[in-house]
Amino acid sequence: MKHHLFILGFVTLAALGILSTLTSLKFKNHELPWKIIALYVGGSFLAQGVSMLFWTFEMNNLTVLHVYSLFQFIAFSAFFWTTTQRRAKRQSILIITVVISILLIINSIWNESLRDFNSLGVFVSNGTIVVYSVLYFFEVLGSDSYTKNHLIVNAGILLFMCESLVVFLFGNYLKEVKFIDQIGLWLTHAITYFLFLILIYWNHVKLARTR
Amino acid sequence: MLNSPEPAENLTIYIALILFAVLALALTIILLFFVSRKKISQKKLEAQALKLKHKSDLIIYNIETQEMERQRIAQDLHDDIGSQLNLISLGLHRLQKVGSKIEQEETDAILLLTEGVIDRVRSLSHELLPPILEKFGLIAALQEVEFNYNKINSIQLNFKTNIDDEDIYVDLSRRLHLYRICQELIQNSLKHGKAKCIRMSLLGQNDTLILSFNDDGVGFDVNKLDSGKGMGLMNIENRVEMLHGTMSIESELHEGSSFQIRLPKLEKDERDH
Repeated sequence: MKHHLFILGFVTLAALGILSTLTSLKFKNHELPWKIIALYVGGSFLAQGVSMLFWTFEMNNLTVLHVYSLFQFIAFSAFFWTTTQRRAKRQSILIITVVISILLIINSIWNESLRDFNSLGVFVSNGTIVVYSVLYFFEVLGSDSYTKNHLIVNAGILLFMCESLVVFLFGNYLKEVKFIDQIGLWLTHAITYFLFLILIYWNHVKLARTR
Repeated sequence: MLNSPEPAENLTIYIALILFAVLALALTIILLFFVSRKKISQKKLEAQALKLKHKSDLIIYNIETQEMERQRIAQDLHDDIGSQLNLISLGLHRLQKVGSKIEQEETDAILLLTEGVIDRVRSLSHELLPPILEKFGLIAALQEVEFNYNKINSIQLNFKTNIDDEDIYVDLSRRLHLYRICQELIQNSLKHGKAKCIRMSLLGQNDTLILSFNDDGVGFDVNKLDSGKGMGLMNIENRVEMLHGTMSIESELHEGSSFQIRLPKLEKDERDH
């Protein structure tokens, strides 16, 4: 069964490779929010690659998760920072991003071990992104701005962040459970992640058509 | 709960339940957002349509009032001021025969002035409501317009029609609106388009009356029309709307402009009325 999960990891890597190639095409023509999403996909591809490398050599790859969750938090915060037109919200996002990023680093160094899931860190960072995502929907409802161009990817972010928040929050408990019993959860995680990648691609195509 | 020594299956079931609950919540938020967004845009569209209708109603009311007022002024000019001026002219003619030479010369001058005023009043009254339109119909009125404009050497206006019986297509009020549309189009062509040659046709095709108008003026960018329409063009559009017709505009800079207005044929009861 672990062998199947390993293959799934490589399939994810391939999917991320294709998507990062697609989103990096005509990168200069993208609007700033989409440039951030393209960079996020590229970064995810890199993180997945390193993680798979660790896994191949049977090394603990949870250290990558610590770095990746920080990168993901900064990337999505930057995305929501660029999509909002409210000055107060921008300033709040900036302050929250700096504070939480520092807390995540402190947490990874002194609190949660780099060899374990950073449950608390993921809970805080993903939770914040979920709040941003919901606020984004509210903002779009009351405006006619260009932020409407990123609705699909925002739906994907909301779904994926909610899902990974739960899975990684209980990551350390799952380590104690037999692999066969946790496979369903990791499969759900993989499906949600693929759905998220599909939504990014869909939004990318939609943006390319309107350009 | 998590620290209690529960069987592993139970723990994963709890996590799975939380996971699906959170996912369901996220999906509900997304669904609610898209439903609300659709409703909001529908409401916005409705409000916009209502605003447009209100504006259009106001303009139509304005046009109708304007026409009624024009008719009233034309009638007053013709029946009241015109007839009184004629009486003055008659009196002056009588005075001319009985007075001394100096008085006759003065009467001549006053008579000349009075006849000038009578002519001006008549032409004003005709401009406001051309009698030819009522007496001989739209085709005759447009032919008169063609004749009058062609008298000016620098402008060439060409009007053609294939309609024998215009009553199938236009009643009195429609005639007036169509006449005003033509007047407005000609005015726009000459004033803004600096046109030298205008071609106008009124053709009946089965159930449709087609008014085509082309000029060789400076033209304009049709795409910019939405951002700023002149009063003249808005007037034309509203008159077309009042006649339940449609209008298409084609124009390019330095390529002249062309308008096509299509109006439905009158229903039988409308004709009888």
